[in-house]
Amino acid sequence: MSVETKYSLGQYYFGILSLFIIGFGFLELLFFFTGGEYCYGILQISPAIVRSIVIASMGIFMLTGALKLKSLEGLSLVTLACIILWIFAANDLFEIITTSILPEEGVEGWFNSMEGFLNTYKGPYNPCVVLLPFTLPIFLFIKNYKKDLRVFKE
Amino acid sequence: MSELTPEERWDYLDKLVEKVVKFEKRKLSLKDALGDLTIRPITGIPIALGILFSVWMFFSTFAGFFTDGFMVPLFDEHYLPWIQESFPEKPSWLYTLMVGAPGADNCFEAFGVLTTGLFVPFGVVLWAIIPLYLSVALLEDIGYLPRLAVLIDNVLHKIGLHGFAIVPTVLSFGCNIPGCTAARILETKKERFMMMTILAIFIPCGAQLGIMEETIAGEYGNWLMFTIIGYLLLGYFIVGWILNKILPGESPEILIDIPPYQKPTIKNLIMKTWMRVKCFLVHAVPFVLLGSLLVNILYIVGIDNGNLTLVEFGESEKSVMGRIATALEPVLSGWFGVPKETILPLVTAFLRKDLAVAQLSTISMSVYQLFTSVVLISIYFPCVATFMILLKELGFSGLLKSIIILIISTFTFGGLLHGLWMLMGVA
Repeated sequence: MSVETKYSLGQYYFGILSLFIIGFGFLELLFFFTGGEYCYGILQISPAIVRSIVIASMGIFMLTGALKLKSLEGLSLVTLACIILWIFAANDLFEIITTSILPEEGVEGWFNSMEGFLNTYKGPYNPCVVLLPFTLPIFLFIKNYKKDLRVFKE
Repeated sequence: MSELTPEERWDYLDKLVEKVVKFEKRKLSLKDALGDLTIRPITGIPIALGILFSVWMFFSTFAGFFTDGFMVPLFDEHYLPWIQESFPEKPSWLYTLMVGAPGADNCFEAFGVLTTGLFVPFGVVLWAIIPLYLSVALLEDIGYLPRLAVLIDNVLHKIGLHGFAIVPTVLSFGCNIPGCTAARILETKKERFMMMTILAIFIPCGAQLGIMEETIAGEYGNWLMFTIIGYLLLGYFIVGWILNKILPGESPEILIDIPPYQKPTIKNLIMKTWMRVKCFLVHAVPFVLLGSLLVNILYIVGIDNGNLTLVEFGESEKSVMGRIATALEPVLSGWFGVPKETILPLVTAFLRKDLAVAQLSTISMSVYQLFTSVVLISIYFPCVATFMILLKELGFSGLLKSIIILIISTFTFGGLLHGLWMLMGVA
């Protein structure tokens, strides 16, 4: 695949992904004011304020970056948005891991049962965890960015 | 060189620079571009918000996991029954002082030096400071902390502090103790005094925020919790601004060398975190134990006809602490407009503010009174551990000045709320 095609596809890909991120961010914010939450399959959108503002902002950064992905500025914006989403996802996963180790409330003992441990990983998950694998293609762009971006300068 | 005129010296220097310095067009790398984005306000502020929120999330999960998951059962189900059983001479004043209430079923309510005194630093605070110190070490090593300081410098300059004051502030949202000790990074005595004072008064710790989220936000919605935090932050800036105007001393500018972003090394992170935790264990824990001892003495010593006496357990209203509580009752209902029952959580707040907020939720009061009560618990006095750290860091006279500012702030901000509720016709 030529560098031109790779970056054009990247623009569409991150553009569409950013719309989902903005949407999730705004839904979290909406639920914060209206109450309630949305759960579908492994995805759970819960009310949050700081989180939602940051997620929506990262979505906007990613959209802005996707529009000018063929420049260093655009690529860095998309990368930055991905990094913040990874940090959020890592925090969510850390919370899931710690919850899975401890016994459920009211149950005696130091550690969770094997069944309880495995059940914790069934989900549902916060949007950042669900979005995590979809942000990984950024590595394809970071890997050879110096060489790739030179093509657009010429 | 000494015979050259200033102009000739400059010419000489120019020629020297031409010879030894090579100028090239700077090629931006992705790391440089990311670095620029984290300093530019429009992109830097949401990123800073995201990173600080993540630090707080990591702190709450880590502290919750170790404190609630292991330390509370260890102390309450194993250590407490053992020490209650094996401590000699019960009932006696020594038992009350060291172990606390004979029938207590948890280390928090026991109030003894060897129970609550050990539980607070080793069961609660230690697990709060480890994730915070680890996060700060990570942010330092990556190279984000200087960027955050630059980003926030303008805002903090308005209150006579500089960008690096964000570090103690962020740490205080986890636990006030590392926040106060981190204030050492500020250059002048004035800055350090201001920082510690406004932190101890206005910044609620992570445990308190967690309980606020469960009890207040759970019952009345998130808006109440965020309005309370907003009010406290407003106080942080107003009191900071006033202190900057009235306190003598300097608030110098900062010159920061911003390093490029780099990979953190695990050895560095572990070493930095360990050094700071060790500092807490060596310097802070004895002060916390001493604080518990002093509070306990106030609980077991009473005043009868001008003479000091030992108070029986269960008759705490006769103790010095009980007398203080009774004396404060009219102030609570008159000036602050909160129910007199609030005195118990306020006394509890001296040991643990989170449990004081939890106690508030059991008292019947309007949402406006609850607002004022939570603000009072946050600002009226730092918890015993923070109090002792303030004593250590500021010295006796500094602590005394800090307490005067605290009393004025409590009456002003608490009274203002009551006045506002009266104007609205809801008090």
